Amino acid sequence: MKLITHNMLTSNILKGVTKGFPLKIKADKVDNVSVDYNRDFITRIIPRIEYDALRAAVNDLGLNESLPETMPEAVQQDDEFLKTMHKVLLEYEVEEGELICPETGRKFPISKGIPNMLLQETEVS
Amino acid sequence: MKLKELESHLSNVENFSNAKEYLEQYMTTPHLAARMIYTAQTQYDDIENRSLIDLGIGTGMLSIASCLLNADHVFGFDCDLDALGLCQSNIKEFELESSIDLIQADLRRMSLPVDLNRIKADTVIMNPPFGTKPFSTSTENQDELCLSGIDMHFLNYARQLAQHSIYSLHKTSTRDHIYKKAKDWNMKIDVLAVLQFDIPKLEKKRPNRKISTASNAPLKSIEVDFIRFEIKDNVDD
Repeated sequence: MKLITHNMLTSNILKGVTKGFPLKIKADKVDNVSVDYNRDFITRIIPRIEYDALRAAVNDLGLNESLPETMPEAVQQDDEFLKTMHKVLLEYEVEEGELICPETGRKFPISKGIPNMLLQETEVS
Repeated sequence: MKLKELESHLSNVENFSNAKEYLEQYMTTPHLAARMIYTAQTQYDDIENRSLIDLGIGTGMLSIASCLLNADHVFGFDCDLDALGLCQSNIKEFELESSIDLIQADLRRMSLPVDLNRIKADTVIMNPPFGTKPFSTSTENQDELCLSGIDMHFLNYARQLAQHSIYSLHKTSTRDHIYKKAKDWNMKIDVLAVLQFDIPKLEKKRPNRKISTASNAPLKSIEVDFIRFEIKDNVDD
């Protein structure tokens, strides 16, 4: 699971959970893979990223990446920022661990890089 | 990339060795997948530089085809861990790990673990289960089974996720119903082609249907519509 994917997942499918976002990450194994930098792609995807949730994820993983507190205004011109975003969104793979619902504490296991968001019948809202 | 070349690459996607009948797991063939994704790109510019979602990703055939035609990124959903494992190994074979991410979620339920108010893909690609009887008949253990009209559940998710368009396969015999639904959901619908799809031949009254299909099971051919849906609210994008 890359952080780009974490950024879109929510636990609001659970009964009683309203927002369920962002999910907390408890990572047991994180791989760092090198991915070719595609500036255009990162520029296209940034408007769809919930920035605060991404920062929270970086914090959960204890990554040594410096994302400014707020997104720079002139994102398009800020190559250094775009490169950091590229790295954070695509280059870290959470292989083993769990996602934790911020409201109920329900844990969703991540195994072999795939988050398991399946629910029991009784948990469905 | 030319169509023939795309199809030839896709012939390296490994098929299910033990497809689960109750999930209607049958692979979109390289022939069909190549034509679907090639058309989506060359006729409508809906693949290259787009973010995609693949519902019921299965072997990964459609997603891999899309990435070979330079899709930006794919989020792939499937409920079945065996399928996801196979998909992951196919993705690895094509060295597309950086472009496709997988999520295990049950699309037979009416909600998806995705923030529907915010993240949307440009394009949704899918080959949904067709809700073929006899799988859809109710049994004591409904949770394990596909439901009648399951392709409409998938389409209902797809329309919430897609910012622009959806590419999907549906049984030609249900076309009237799909036209009606598309109208209800304010989508433009175009049947781009009628295709032959080979699915395993089923024995109608087998007591235990939670059985898997060997890859050499006898096949029967059904007609499916290859459909493009366009979300009307965003037609001007």
